[in-house]
Amino acid sequence: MRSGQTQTHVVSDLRGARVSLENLDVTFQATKGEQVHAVRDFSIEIAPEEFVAIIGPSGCGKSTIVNVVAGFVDCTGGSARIDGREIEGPPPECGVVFQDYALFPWLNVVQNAAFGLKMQKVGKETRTRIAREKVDQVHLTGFEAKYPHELSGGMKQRVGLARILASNPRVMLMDEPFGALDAQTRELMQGLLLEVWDQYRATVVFITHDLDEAIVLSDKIVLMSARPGTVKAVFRNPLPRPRYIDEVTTSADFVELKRELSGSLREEIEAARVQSETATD
Amino acid sequence: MTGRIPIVRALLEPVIQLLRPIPSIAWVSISIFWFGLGESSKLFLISYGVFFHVWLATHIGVSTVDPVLLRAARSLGARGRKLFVQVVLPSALPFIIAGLRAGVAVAFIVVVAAELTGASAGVGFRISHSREIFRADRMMVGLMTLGMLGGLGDLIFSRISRRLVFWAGEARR
Repeated sequence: MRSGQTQTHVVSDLRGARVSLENLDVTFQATKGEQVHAVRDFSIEIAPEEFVAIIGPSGCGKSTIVNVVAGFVDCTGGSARIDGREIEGPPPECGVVFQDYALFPWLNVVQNAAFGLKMQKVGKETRTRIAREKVDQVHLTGFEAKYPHELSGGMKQRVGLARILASNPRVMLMDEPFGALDAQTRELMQGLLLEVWDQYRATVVFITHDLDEAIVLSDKIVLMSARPGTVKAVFRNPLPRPRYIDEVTTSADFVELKRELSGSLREEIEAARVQSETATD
Repeated sequence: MTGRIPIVRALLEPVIQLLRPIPSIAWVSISIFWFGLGESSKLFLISYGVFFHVWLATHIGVSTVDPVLLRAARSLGARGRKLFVQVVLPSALPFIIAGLRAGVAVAFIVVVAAELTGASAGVGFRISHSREIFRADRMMVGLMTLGMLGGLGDLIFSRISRRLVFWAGEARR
């Protein structure tokens, strides 16, 4: 585990928080007034500092899981807790990285990174210093004064990462954060994320539809069923850490796990397809 | 306010929606009746013309703030007034400025109309006075002055707005 840590530690010694979802049920009103049953009886226990990837067919409620933990969406049944506390509104220990970045276009890179600290009423000097540190950490040195519209997708997501790091999150929620990036950039970002995660030791919930990405990054992979989404299977990831992306993807364990996952995922995608066809009939 | 708080919206929106379709120029006569021929009636007309455009634009801007941006801000700890000042207002700013710009154009029209019908000073008054004394050349000068003033006003405005909302247009790529 982490270097410099004593052998006997209790849960509270870990930086990351425990995320417990128990029989989670989420139904929400669609725009046309019909009810959408997004998530049904979804239970997972995410240990502190664990990196969990959630995969599943599109529209299976993966994002809903993140939205519940982030406090954006209330669950209609079951419970969602962080370190045993029920989630009510956005929990301060969570940092969220969004697929479409969601940077504030009127703020430059440093100001974006400092936004969370500003909300916590941290003085201007301190927050700028911390924000600059985080910007360096995501390798954006030299771009501090640029505005989001001047940055590429990968750079924007680096800012998105720096922005949550500044608040020192104990849980990082990532909703397909690299989904909009090209393959090379995505790989770079995965490397960066592993690097950062190693330093911050936050609990991570990572939504993706990319199997390789899930395997490269995570400790545990949760496969969701077609909507209403529930846990279909949980896979332990046997790959040792630290991982170096180009080595990992050619190892036998990787190939084995991927075969297993893609088989299960295909079944669910098929189920989702049948479902949507019967729905339109 | 009407964009974000449901009660305020329910109370104010009907009134505003009733008043809004009335062309600003139609207010010229009543405004002169209420406020006389002086500057105060012009002031009323300008405020009126600008207000509705700005209100409408602000309303649209505030109620169409990107929900993901709001979520991002909330998860970073922004609440209530802070959320409004730090996120909602800046995202609505491009709309507000567009509204101001349209408002200024309307105000210009209304003021000239007011001056043409009843005033004792101003470019509009000069044009209508020139007509009475059959001086087409003076009328032309008046029109050109108006053209230049209007153009200049708009130019200054677009310069300022480009400075102020430099991200707009490029932000939503």
